Amino acid sequence: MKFNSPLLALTVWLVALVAGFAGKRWLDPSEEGRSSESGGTLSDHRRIGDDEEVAAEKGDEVLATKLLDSAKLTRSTDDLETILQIDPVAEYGRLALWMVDATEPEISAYWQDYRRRESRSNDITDLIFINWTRLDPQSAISTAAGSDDEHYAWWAWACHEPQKAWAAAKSSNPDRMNNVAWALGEFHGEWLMAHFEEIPEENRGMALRGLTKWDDVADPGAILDFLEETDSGFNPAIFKALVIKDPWAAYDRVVNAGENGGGLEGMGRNSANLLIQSLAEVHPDLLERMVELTPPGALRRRMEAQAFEGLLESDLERAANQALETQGVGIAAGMLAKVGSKLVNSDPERAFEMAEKIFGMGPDGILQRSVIESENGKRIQSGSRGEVRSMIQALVSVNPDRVMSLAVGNAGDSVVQTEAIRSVGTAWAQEDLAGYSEWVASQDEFPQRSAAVGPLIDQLEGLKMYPEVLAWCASDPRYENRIGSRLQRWAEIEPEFARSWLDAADLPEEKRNEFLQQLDSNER
Amino acid sequence: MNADRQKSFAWWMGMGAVAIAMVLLGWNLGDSRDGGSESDEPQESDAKIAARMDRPFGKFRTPSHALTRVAAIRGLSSPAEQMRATIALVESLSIDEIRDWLEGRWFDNAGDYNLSLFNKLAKQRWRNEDLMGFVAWAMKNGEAGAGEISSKLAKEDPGKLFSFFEEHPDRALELRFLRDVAAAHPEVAVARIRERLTGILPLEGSEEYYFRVALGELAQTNPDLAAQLMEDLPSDWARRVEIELAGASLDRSFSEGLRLLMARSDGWELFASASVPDKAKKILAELETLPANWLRSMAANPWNLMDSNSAADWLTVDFDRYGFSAKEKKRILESAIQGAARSSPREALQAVTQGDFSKEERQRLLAAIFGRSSDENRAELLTMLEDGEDRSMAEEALRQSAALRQSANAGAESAEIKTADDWFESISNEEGNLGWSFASKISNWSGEELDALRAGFSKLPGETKEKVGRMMMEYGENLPKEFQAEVISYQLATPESVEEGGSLDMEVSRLAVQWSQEDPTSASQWVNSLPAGAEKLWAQKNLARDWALYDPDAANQWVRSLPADAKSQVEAFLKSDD
Repeated sequence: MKFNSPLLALTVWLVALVAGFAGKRWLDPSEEGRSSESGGTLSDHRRIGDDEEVAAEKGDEVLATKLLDSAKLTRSTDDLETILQIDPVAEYGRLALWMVDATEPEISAYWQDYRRRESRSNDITDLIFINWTRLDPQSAISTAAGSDDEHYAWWAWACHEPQKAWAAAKSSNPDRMNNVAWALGEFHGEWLMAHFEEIPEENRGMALRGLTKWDDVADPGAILDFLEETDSGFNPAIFKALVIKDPWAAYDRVVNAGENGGGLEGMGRNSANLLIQSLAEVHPDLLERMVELTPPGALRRRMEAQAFEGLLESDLERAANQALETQGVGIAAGMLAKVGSKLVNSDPERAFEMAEKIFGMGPDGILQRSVIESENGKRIQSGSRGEVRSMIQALVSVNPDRVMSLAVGNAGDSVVQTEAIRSVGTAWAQEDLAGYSEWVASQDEFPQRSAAVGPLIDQLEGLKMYPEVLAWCASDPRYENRIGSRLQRWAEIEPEFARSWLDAADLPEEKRNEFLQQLDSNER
Repeated sequence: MNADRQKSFAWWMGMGAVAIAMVLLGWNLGDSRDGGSESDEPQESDAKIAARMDRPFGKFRTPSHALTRVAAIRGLSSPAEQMRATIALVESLSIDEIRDWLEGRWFDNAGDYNLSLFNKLAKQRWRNEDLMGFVAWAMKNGEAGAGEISSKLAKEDPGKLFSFFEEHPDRALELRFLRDVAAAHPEVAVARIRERLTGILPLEGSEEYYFRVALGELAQTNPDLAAQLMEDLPSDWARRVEIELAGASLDRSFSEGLRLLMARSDGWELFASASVPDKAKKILAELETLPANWLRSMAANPWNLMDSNSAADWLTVDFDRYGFSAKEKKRILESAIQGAARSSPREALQAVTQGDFSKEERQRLLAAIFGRSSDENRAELLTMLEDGEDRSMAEEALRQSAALRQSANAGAESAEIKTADDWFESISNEEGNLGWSFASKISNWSGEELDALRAGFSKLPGETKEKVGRMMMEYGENLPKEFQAEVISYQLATPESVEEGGSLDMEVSRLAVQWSQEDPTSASQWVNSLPAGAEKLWAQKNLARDWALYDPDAANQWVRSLPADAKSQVEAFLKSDD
């Protein structure tokens, strides 16, 4: 047997090289993981021996062939006369098809008619000039020259012949450079990004507006990078497109922004919020998986909150259990309150169960606030997020007595109880001022009566019901010190009534004289 | 022969060895993701690979059938044929498919008009064949036209609109269109409010605004129905309806509406809260008819009724005729002068010179007029002042406002600040305190810029560091946390750099808590790095308590890791808080 040794060796080595390469690619679990869950891209389908994908590829080609075949048959049956009769906005497709086959004089004639119409649509003018400049840009430009519609012609020409339009605008029509720059961004984004330095400073803004006009871009990440590099801000629509097309790339951007020290403020906050909202809309399944991979912190908490919102809609019972099992008071109170609010009408008993749990959590749960302390005192760092307040308001509309009993009975020490009573009292007074007023009036023996009187006075003051305000202030030692200032406010509006009230009020003579002197000294 | 055999054996062995090497080389090439070499890159951990395996592509990543068709269209030779094929593509799709194409942005933008054409045609087909399905999608995506369609439906077929919201609940959106329903079909709006009341209330954010607007519309179109609805509403919303009814009544006939309100004990309150066009001007014409308590209320809070359009009218009112006291007259005039300072400076100035104002009051009013005066009328206004004292007060006001303008335009405002060096240069050039404009320049910095800022701060002279520290105490909350940490750490190390009365302990705790809400690991590491002292201990306590609100396990773990003394004090603090 005679071998051509070098050739054989080369062949064997090549086969070995290919076998090794293919073997690794074939067995690579990460590649396998991608393709199995992928919606599929052209490159994903280039896998030797994958019958299904080959079949799908063939199916795709059949679809494409069918499309081109049907396109050949897609012809307009209109002529200039009939097309002038239709409402172009309502029958946009019909006009578009006619434009495809129309001649330049026909399009020009259509424009002469359309431009005189009282109400015109941008979409139609765009369509006319896009087709006109496709056939004869100079005709379109010279016709529109000097009119308010000139910019359409330059913009449309730049769609078809960007370089020529740009050169012509630069050399002979600098006023139109902005229109061409916009079109460069809108239709030729890749070119624009590669040649951005060549665009004069004064036209860059328009070019960027064109670039970000549509979010249907093949590579939203590249545009976001470009905007960042050129210090052109954050574009929510393009970012949302990235979330839709490649959520993990979007996730990485947000996480990296946080890791780079940008935190979740400014642009970081915009992109984080958008990521979370968009994920909830289009990839709710991914949201939960991303939560697992995200380190503790604000991003993770927002993701968890959004995932919980989804659960509230899809499986309320599971949401309720999750809320009951959650440990951190700051988060659990909000979750329980959301479940409670959802259940108020359908299952009030269960809603009250949630409320009971919250009232057992103390002021941080009830008021959902964050407090810092030092030797110099105490300061509320961040205020209420409102979920508990909303739930209390909803429950109060069903059974205010019962909510108040919960506040009184389950809220622990007197400080916590005061906060709880104030919360419920405020909601009750807003819901039914007369009913709340009666309830407070019947609580003579109630040790926390002062806490309940506060919201009542606040609500009455908001309505400028001064006689009632003063009567309640006088009824509780804690609010007696408000009498002077409220009396003064009343006297500014109705001095006679204020004085009559003072005359008749059950006050120590010394106090009465003090208030009287105060009124006299402020007399007009 | 043997030699040949030996040579052949050696040859085969050699070839086999190279073949094995080639297999390995191929294997490694196969291992590199894009065919390039990653041999210099650190090997990924199993956990990282597993994490990536767990990262499927989005379900909207453009599928091959769409890519193939779009590529086939773009493969056609002329733009006309491409447009024709785009039209054919839209025609070939079902409405469900159109939704997927639009939602997934499968038709991408690439150098032609085809995408615009596709989008317009696809949306039009969807809208024509499944209006409410399109509306749901369009609303979710903030598409132009969705509001217009819903508003039209609200007017023409509110039942259809409400059925839509039954299927796609969106309280804020439904309340937004309730106004249109109330305008065209008030009885349907009221029935809907009654039917959904418990589901609608309480309201949050913009919902409250839209509900108020809808009630206002109802009060305009059918006041009787609105009044009946009050019985079903909670007291604060019933009050709102009363206010809207008062506004609607005044709008219909101001004098008649006023007469009705004057007969009520709470008439003034309703009047003051109601929104009526030109209310301030109209009430001026009715001064003669107003009861005393209304006049007292007006005088008590005169700015409530004034805007820049009506303030000047108050300058010429004959206050004595209507029984206003001297004190009330002065209070109203002061508000009117302030309100008219920009729009009618001459009249305002005349009122100052003719009014019975003390020196301090004149000073305040002249500052308002001259501080807001324009370059054109400034000289003329000055000539109106005959009194020397007034004139010098006006000149002083002008000097102060010029200085204010200059300082606002100076420093950070005028300089282009892109790098840490730019920022440091601008703060070094600033002679006074660093205002918000300096802080805002760096509030969103991250990455390398932030690193440079931190490094640059440590090299600043002590005096400039103190200046930055003072700015931090006032505007620090919005600065990058790492930079705040750098500055606060410096302040802790040099307590003499902090102004007397500055509560550094609160600042340390504030940053620890705020940072921990975003990134507890970094926050706790920073707190651990602080010099021992009361500030550090309070930061540890506050951080532990706040962290536990969100992640009690992690917070406890951190507390357990603290040195024994700190640990026992923090634990005691947490216990006292239970």
